[in-house]
Amino acid sequence: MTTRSNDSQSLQAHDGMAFPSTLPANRKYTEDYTDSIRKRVSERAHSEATESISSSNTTDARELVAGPDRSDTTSESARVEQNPSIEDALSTGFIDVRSAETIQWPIRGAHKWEGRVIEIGDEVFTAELTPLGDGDRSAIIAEFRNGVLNEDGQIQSGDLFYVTEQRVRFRGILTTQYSFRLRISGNWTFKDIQEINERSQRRWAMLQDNVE
Amino acid sequence: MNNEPPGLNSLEVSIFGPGKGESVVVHLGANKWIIVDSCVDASDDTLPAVRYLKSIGVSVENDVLMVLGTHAHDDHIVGISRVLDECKSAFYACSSALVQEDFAAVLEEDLQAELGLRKSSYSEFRKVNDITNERRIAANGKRFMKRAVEDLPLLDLQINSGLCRVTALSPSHEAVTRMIHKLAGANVVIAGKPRRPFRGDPNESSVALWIESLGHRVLLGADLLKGPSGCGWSGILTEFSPVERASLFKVPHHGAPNADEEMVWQKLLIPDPVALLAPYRAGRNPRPNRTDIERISQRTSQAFITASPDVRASRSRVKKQKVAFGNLAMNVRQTGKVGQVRARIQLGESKWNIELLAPAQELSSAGRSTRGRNS
Repeated sequence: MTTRSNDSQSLQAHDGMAFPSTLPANRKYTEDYTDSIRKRVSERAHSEATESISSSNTTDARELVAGPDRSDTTSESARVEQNPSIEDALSTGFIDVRSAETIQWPIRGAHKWEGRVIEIGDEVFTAELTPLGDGDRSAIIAEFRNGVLNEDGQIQSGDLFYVTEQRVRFRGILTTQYSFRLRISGNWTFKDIQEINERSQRRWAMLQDNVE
Repeated sequence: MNNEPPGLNSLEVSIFGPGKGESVVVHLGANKWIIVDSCVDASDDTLPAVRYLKSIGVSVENDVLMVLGTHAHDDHIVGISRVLDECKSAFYACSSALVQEDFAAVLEEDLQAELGLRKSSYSEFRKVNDITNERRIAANGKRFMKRAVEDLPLLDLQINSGLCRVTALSPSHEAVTRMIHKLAGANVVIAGKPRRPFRGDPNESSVALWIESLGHRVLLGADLLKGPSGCGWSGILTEFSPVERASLFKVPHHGAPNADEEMVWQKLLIPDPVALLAPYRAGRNPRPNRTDIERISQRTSQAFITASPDVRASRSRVKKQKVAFGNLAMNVRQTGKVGQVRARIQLGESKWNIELLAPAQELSSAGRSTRGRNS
């Protein structure tokens, strides 16, 4: 079993669809493990998409694939050794499994936005969204039902999230899927914490030097 | 609005606001300027304050003495590191609550979370830190950062043989202490446990400014709230009692009632002062709403706003994104065009000259067009 450290490497899905090009530093994954996840994701994606498509009778059926990423809470070594459930594998915070869900079919269009929660109401939250990718990057403001991001009632003003819209054509039927991914920071290893603390001390020393 | 710079003996306060965010520039006299907060024009990603100063021939590199970030909210600090970068001679001032060891840890934890991601909650602060550090090194140890806390003069100048002073009225020591406690609580980091980013309320430790120059006084209210006890406006009113009151007021927190302290109008401002504000249209309840406008209009007949608080109809490029979201997104909109209210007054004069750059308007006319919204 080989292990590699991912600072800037890109993991490629089997058909060439890229996983996130940059993974957090100091995260280690075994290749066997990621291959295992890919396989399971692929199996589940095929199953879900078949269900979705078979239940859709329109040419523009929108299916919301929503819910926050559940960051895994296992330590680095435990993550390598344990045999995760498919749900755990799908929910790891560092692999965009929902991108992988569509790798089996031709993608007709995809849009991504980066969002920031501005305000949370009883039923909807307000967010500022910036389109990602080339082209017009003008931010928009919009409101969404809390349920798309707030399954556990935990979102706060200032939280960041990502929205992906993908249109997939399969057997002549166009399906649009949206995925909302909440960014949850701070799933740290001891090494992460050590680095944060060291950098904090350096920054604090710099601030003291710079402030009158 | 003409492109003439203010005279050497003229005080100017200009406020810019697109509907989310605000920035204020102040000419203290004798070609000396300060910039308070920052906003970005979404249409071209430019900095309205810097763009304006350049348009009237100000040497931004040399004549801006201070850039102040009043508090750590997106609508006041977006782009502020770019502003500071342009103002090469300026020092940076911010709330003392943000010059703390624990805040340095928040910045670094945030950076760690951002590795591989695109947006950073605190990147403006890290960039500001880096810029001030580079300036100190280039200037052989001269420091380019000041912490603002109640009753602390940030600038003292001699202008036209008179004293020009810019003083921080807040945050109070109580507000700084409260923020330190929150920061300390946020920095308990445990391996393997996901945790949420720090979310203290920066409004509590906002920096309100008192400016005295050329015989006039100006009060810039940032987003300072009424309290809690010992903090906000209640803290200022306990500690600060000016000999002469201000004739121009930057209304705090976009006219929201939680920042509106009646005693401020009575103790710190002359009757019927000039009041300037920028709207906040990004939230579910845009500010100022009709009630806010009525309340402010009862306190002064000279209130001006950089743009209408009404959410406007979508423009074409917004419509494209609206279509992409389908029924999933509601009220898709953009923040809008940046307006400017410019107030100038000469040494020895008693009345401010007000000029408006659309969509800036009198607050009372914004009130007439604001339909059916109350707090």
